[in-house]
Amino acid sequence: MNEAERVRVSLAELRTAASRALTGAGAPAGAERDGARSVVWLESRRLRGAAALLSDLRLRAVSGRAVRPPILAGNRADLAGGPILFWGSTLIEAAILEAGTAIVLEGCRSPRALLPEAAAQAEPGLHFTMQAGASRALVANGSLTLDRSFADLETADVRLVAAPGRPPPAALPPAAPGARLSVRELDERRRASLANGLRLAPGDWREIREAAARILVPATERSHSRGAGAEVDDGE
Amino acid sequence: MRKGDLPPNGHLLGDGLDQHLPDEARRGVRSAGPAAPAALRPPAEVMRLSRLGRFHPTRLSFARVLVRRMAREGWRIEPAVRGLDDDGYGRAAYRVHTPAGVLGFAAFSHHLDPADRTDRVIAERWDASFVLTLEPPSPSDLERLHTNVPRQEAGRCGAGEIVLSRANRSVRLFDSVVDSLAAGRQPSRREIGRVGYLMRTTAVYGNGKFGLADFEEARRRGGLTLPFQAEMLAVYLVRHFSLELIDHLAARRGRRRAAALDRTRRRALGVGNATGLGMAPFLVNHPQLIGGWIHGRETALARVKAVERAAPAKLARFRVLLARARTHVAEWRAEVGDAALGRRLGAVAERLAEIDRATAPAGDGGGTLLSGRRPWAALAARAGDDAETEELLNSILIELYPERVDDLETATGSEEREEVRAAMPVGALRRTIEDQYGWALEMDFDRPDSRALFWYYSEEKEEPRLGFRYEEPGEDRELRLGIAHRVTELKQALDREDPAMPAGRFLLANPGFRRIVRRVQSLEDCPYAEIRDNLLDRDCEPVDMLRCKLSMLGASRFDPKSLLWTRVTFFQGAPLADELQDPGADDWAFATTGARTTGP
Repeated sequence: MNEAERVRVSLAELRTAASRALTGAGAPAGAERDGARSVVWLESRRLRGAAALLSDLRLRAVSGRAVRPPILAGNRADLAGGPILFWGSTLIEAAILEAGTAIVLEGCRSPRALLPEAAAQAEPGLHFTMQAGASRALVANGSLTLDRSFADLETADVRLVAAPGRPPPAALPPAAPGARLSVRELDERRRASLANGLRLAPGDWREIREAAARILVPATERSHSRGAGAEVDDGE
Repeated sequence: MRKGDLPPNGHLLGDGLDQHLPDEARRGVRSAGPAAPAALRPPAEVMRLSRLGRFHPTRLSFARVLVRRMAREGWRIEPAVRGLDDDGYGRAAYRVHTPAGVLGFAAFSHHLDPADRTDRVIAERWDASFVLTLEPPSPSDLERLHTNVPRQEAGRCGAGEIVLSRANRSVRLFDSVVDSLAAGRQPSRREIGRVGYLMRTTAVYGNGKFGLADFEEARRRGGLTLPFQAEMLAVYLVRHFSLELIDHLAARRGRRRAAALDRTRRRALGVGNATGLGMAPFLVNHPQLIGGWIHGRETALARVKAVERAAPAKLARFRVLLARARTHVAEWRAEVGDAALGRRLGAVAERLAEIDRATAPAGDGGGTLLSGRRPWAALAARAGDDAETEELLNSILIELYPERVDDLETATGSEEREEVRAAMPVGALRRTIEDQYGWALEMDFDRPDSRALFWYYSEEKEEPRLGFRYEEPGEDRELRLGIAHRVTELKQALDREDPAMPAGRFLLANPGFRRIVRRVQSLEDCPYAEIRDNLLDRDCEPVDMLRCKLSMLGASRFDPKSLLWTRVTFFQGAPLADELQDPGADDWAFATTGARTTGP
């Protein structure tokens, strides 16, 4: 799509719309804020946050099932392909509780959606590693190293570890030149997004806004005239 | 990351967490002002709606802080485009010179059928629309803005725009002022006092809405570092425009015999504002921000009450402010439509008269009330149990000691950082609830009226509304503002669990409690963050929440039109654009409309 054809959207706008859309899709109370934050975090770094959101919204639209939290058994979490934006923060917290031990997230959609939650929880004494096949990511306090291929994963089994302390110097194996995204590059992307706004495909933005509108209550005559406490004509 | 820590590299964690954070707080630097004494009023006293709904603006309110900054930094406002026709329709633009650069402001004035004039969010046309920009708009920018700004929510703004607003002319005042000036007469001072504004804003949007620049970018590029500073600047410029518009219209109509509005009357005019329920969700959804504002206000008050002896100059200044406040209350009371507020203001007038007598050097008390130790604490106690009077006195006290309180004006941002602390044991979480939310646990939610109300956004332009749960549809989409109810449910659920269980495990099995667990954990150190009332109760009066926030912004002359919306005035008595550098420009608290407020 031609860049000029895309819709310019502010970060705050996307956050609000994503939060409402996730609520409308059945996200547990509170998970919608985390999910929306992840969407903006990713999209502002050009890591396809809106695509992750749309993927989850479409899944919810067709499944219609009650929302089922991940089932954690031993060191495996069965996500059953469920919406990652509902559970990303919960899974990172589960990893923190099992610090030092790997948890395997089976059927994890859009694994990149784990990155913002890990970034929010990383401390000087706590860092996270993620691996799906040969694709890896490392999130530490104030830094992030990411295989480009990790950012592109759609659904994968992800090995997630919250590890105490600072990451060792060789926490990730060497990679080919250009195969990784650095925190500097991601920060530059975010700065550009703040300055210029996000650019979304018109159809995607429309779909997100339509999903967000599910939290709105249809107007009735009573709500129209009394719900806001004023008469419709409340001039002077 | 625990509460109070700041990330060494905030860039990674920045999205949505620090949008209200001033630079000082981002660096972890706290106020260097006088140490606050311990005697802050307890949250149990302050955080009730019956108290929050009695707040008055103070010198720490955002409008006051902005005007001080404009004066201190020598801001200048100059016209850039004058394109209004004989009826005042067309466009105008201004340049705002600040040390951080030159901002722009564009105004579009339109014909409006009187039948379309409403203050509701659901309106689609207005007398005028406005946009504040990061740079003065070029001619091509103005064309684009002209296409979008008058459409407001239906238009799109760009990365260079930071505030979008609209306003309607006052039916009561606007035309009569033009008629008077066109005929060469100054308009009635009484009428100006009665209304207090020429235009009334019905929405002021910022922080990324409708494509505007995000707050973080506005702060970086525009230097508008504190919360709502951009929005307050836009409102100040609406006032500036409304005063220029009235002179323009009078001059076009009256030609050579027309008079310009005199300075005293100009200063007596602010900007009206109609505010509905939208502010109520904000107060609940930004607890750390609100908690920070109120903590700053309470700290200021405590510092003043801790003054051991009042210097003669302060006593004299107090008498000036008291006299001005009495006139302000009298003018306000004469026009307020709400009977309950009218009665309260009547009581305030009586109490202030008593205090006047008790503090007059030659009065009943011979001035003894203020001659002892801690005179201002003694004065505050004199208000007795009348919250309306007490809060007015508190605003006077804060006004008295700029040297003790003004450093707090930069502490009005908040990190707004909420994260679940997964390792916290359920038992500790339970104790936190018992310690911090005892007020909620005492409520009886078995009583049907305790959950009679629900809050929601309507499909009609997303207008925030309030419904009756047992009578109207929409409960399944309600906004979760019932903190007291939810925390009570959480406590009951936690009571069934092993106290050693980590909160993270509890949330895996009970994901629906995520928001309230995170809130409880995050507000442990924010004593003024929670409104200690049940916002779902049939007897809840949302207008109290509106007044709380509006007072923080700096609004005055509250004039509730129902329990759900109120009309207020901003910048009444504030220095005009060419008066910002005048001595005493900051002295506009308790504006009276009959005369300029500087001096006794």
